[in-house]
Amino acid sequence: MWLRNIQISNFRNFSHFELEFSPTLNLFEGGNAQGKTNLLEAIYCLGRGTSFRTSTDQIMIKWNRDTLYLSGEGEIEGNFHKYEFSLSRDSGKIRRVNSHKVSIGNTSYWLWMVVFSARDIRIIQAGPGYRRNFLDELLFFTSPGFSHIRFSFNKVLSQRNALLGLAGEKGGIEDKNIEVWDSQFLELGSKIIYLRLMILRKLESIFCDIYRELTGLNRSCQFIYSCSFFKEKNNNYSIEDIKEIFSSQLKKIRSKELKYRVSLIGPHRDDFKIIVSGIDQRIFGSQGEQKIASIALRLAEVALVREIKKEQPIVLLDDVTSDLDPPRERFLLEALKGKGQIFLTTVDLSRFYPEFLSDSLIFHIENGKVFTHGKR
Amino acid sequence: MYSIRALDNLIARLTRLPGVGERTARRLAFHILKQPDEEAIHLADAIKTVKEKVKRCSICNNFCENDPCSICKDERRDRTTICVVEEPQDVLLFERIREYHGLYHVLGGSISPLKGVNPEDLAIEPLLNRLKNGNIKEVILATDPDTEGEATAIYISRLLHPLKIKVTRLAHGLPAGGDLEFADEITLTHALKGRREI
Ligand SMILES: [Zn+2]
Repeated sequence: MWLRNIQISNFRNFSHFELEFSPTLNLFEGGNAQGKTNLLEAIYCLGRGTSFRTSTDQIMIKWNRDTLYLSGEGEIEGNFHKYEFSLSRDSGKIRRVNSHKVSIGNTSYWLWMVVFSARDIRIIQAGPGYRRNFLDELLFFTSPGFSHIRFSFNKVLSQRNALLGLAGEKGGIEDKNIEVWDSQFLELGSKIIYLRLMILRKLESIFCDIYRELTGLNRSCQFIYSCSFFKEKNNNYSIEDIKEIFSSQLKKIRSKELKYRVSLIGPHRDDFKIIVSGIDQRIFGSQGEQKIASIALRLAEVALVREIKKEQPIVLLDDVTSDLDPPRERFLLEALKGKGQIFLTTVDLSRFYPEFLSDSLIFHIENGKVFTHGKR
Repeated sequence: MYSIRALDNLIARLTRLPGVGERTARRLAFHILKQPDEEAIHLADAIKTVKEKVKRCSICNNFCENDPCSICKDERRDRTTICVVEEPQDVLLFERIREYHGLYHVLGGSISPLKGVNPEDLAIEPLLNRLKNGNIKEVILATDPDTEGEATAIYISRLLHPLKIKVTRLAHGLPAGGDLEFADEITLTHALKGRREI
């Protein structure tokens, strides 16, 4: 999987230009706030139809323009497809693959990209939503049908919450009205939890190996799914098991849900713990340990996609190595180099060892303009 | 600020239409303004006439010019089967595939607490009344294959359960999470033929 070229118009601080990429290593070099990350974002947006930085799409349109446009050729399983993305202030975003409109949620034409950035530390230290999103993102790509399950679940959840929100008002709400949503809520919710348990187990063993190599320390690593309605120890449930417990717990907390007027249990309330040598990294990990764990987690993601899809994901590194010590930086780069396409931003090219830079294509970015420096 | 009040008024009204943004509304308004007078008057008349002449059928809740509608009056149709749909457009879809010869019932939407649509806001009570005379042998629940359509089908099927009438749901294979409108004729035919009892 790789992106051969890109054409960019009116994206953030860029006006209009085209670039040809290398299937191996592409380096974006330049000072701060010149547009390096914007270029990564444009690449991601073309392959996926969303940004990895913002949930406000409009902000990607150049300030004095109405429409942004991206296009490029991406390779999946040996075939090139033409990708297009446009976003206008008036009519929203349109994604096309080979000139056919494709919905943003249609994962079969996603160019899979794994972004390494300084923000990744939030997956380790911030609220459960970041970890849920991390797992679900991985499932979008590795589990066909997951995007539909997740999308439908979110709809059922917001309908159910809207209904619960009416509790306490005039006649209150009748049980039969909630039950109408419960069957879909249980069905979809149980599938999501089951798929998360499965992917988490696979991710855990890969993470362990990577963590040991990255730190040089022989530590035990564990991922524990914290479900809102069953005990942490039980990570070996089947879908039927989950559904049964979910269903009986849902009945038990009905009165509580009516009191708080919100859906209190389900995959939207779940989390997972990253335990290293018995220590929960979220609560007790140092800043440095959390950083290492976040990098190991991204590397595990790359390895897992490779294993399941038999494809190399495209890797985007957003100035992520600058605060790593040299041996770990080297480990990270070597784990990625020579295995698929990489886009890397950096302020300082000289920090990389010469063998790493060999056979790379270098771009210099300055004030929204991109200059191709050619091959090393 | 520069403005022409009558034109602004038209633009504001057009933006209330589904799928019409500010820019499209402006384009349509200027187009109407540039047309010959009679063109614009015909359009206005057509809108007026449709509102005056088209009513809801008192039996099936579909749109019609004469109440009851031509489908409800048609003695050649199978009067033992009712196909329950969300919107009048859905009746057109089923009529187009020419595979269904029974009667219809238009609910007028689907249950959605988010949009403030409760079961009592839909034509469910009139449906139950139609079933009381005992002639109906099967009710096909053909609400949309999305979460709201599914919830509506579940709600109705629970109400019909004690009545001992066969209740069926369109087979899957329809575009998941979608709108019946997006199903092509072949898919809809399959969904109808493969309907299952629920
Ligand atoms: Zn009628």
